[in-house]
Amino acid sequence: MMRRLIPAPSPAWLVLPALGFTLLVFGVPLLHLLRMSFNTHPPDGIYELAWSLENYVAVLTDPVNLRTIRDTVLLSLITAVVTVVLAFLFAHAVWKRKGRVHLVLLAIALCPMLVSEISVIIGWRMFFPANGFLSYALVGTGLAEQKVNLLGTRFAAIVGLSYISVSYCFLTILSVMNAVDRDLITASGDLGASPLRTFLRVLVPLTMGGIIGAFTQAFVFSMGIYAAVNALGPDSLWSIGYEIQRQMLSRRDWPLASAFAVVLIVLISLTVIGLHALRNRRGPRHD
Amino acid sequence: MTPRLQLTALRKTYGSFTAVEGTDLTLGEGEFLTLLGPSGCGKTTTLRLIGGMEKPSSGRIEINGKRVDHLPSYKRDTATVFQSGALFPHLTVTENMAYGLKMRGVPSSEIPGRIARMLDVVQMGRFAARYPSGMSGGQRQRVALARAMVVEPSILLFDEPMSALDLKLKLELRSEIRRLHRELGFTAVFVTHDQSEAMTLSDRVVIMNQGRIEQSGAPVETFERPASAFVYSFLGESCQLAIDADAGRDGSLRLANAPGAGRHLLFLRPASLRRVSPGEAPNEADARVAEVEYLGGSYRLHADAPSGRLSLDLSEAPALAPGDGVTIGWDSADATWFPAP
Repeated sequence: MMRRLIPAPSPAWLVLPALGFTLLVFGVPLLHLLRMSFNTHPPDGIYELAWSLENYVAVLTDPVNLRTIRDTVLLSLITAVVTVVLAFLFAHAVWKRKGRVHLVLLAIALCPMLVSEISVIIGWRMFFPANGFLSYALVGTGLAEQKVNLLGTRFAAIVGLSYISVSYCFLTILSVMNAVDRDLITASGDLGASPLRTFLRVLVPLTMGGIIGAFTQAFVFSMGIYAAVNALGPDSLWSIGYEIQRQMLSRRDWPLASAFAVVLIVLISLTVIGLHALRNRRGPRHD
Repeated sequence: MTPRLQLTALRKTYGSFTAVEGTDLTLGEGEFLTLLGPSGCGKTTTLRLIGGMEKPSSGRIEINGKRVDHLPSYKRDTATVFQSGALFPHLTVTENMAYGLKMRGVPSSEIPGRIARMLDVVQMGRFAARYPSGMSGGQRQRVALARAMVVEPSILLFDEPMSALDLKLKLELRSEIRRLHRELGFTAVFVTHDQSEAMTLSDRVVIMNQGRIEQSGAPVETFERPASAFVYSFLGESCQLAIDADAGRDGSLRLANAPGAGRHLLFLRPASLRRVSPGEAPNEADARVAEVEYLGGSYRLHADAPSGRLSLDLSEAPALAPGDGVTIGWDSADATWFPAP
């Protein structure tokens, strides 16, 4: 082997270009956003330079805003749970099969990735209303007597949000599952565990890292998305994303919108840090 | 007495490929049986059929007289030591061992005692709180052995448990398994392609080839009285001469008793061959030296006779060069004849 004349750079240095790029295009606007959140909003303008906490007070004390935050977090949590369960079950189905069936299922699982968020929303908007596909299908098969409208419900919002992140969650879980030695599943059955117990005591613990990763992903996605909630969910459901957009574009209150954005970022960061800690706390590393 | 295990006309096919072809086998209590054969001979499939990891295409499997071939793996009273060990990486040694006991409904008050005793037996007591990732391959395999034994299954199955270990560990674990079998008296089916493993461990060796059983018997019996040409050539080193009615007509092959009509294969072990002067041995073949190899301590002489190659070991370097003539002799009792296929 050739002797190295120059010592190999440590891997940490290799991150620098990407880090610099991120700081420039992401960090600088973020600082700008943070600064904006302390400005005040004059009735006849967009913002006035100031160092005020009034926007944060408004975000964190106004009952309407608090409800927006609570609704967004709740909706994202439910979406994340639903998405992870669906993604896990589908990943499990793909993992268990081989050959052609495996490939077909894999392709199906990745289909949602081919469709942009706007197309997803339009698609579900044609699926859920009283004159939509679901309603006709239910009436046509006799499962419902009258037309059913699900557009504008929390259910529709969760379906839409879930659809957007399910493929990413699926891939995260499948990659972790692929690292699981199949002999362990065989061994579990061999020692007397039924398939359900094997699933709960071997497969789920061994893929917990992927489950938490996928949960984080789905939660972060859902917290940030505003169009899907607005277009599919009930009018009474205002997400933080929608509120930021409204304050920024309709009410021209940039400082308040910025404060909302900062709160959203902090909420997401805390969740990610918490989930990451949970992931590392679980026993020794065995992956 | 009901046998521990009875296989009747057991058959397994994958599409057009037949992995196991109508196997019949009986295993008594406390018996250590080895399925031996080259890869793809059906030995692992047979083991997986017994353990319930595969469903037979036809035939019966009975354990303690009860038919089990319709039962899934988790409802059969067998436990397997896997090639990879297959220890659960998220569980400690103790938790790994408790797993099977819990799943089989052993009262929780009994579990710690049974685990401690079994860990003592395999001398792994001080590793009880370790995770598999903190142990060597040999230690993991001992735990895998203990995990299977602690549930006290009717039949213990071994799926080439030592093939991933290096030679020293292999020999160590081999004598360990022999000791455990002597002390605990379990009933075992052991799959391997390593004949020395099969010979040293087993009460009975079953040699398989292309999905069929070629021979079943005590290790000494299979080696000394091979039932087929395949068994002869699979076990140990062998030389093979193809002999028909014309062979030796030119005087190069002198046999004490010739076989009947038709083509035959004559099998000989290198250890029973010796270099002789013509006329000295009851059976002789004239051959030409092909090669002399130094084996470290001894020499191996390869020589080509008209009907096949003969090899034998010599303690001193022969003053022979390739192409030289040499006469090789053997006793009639050391010759084994099979009809040529």
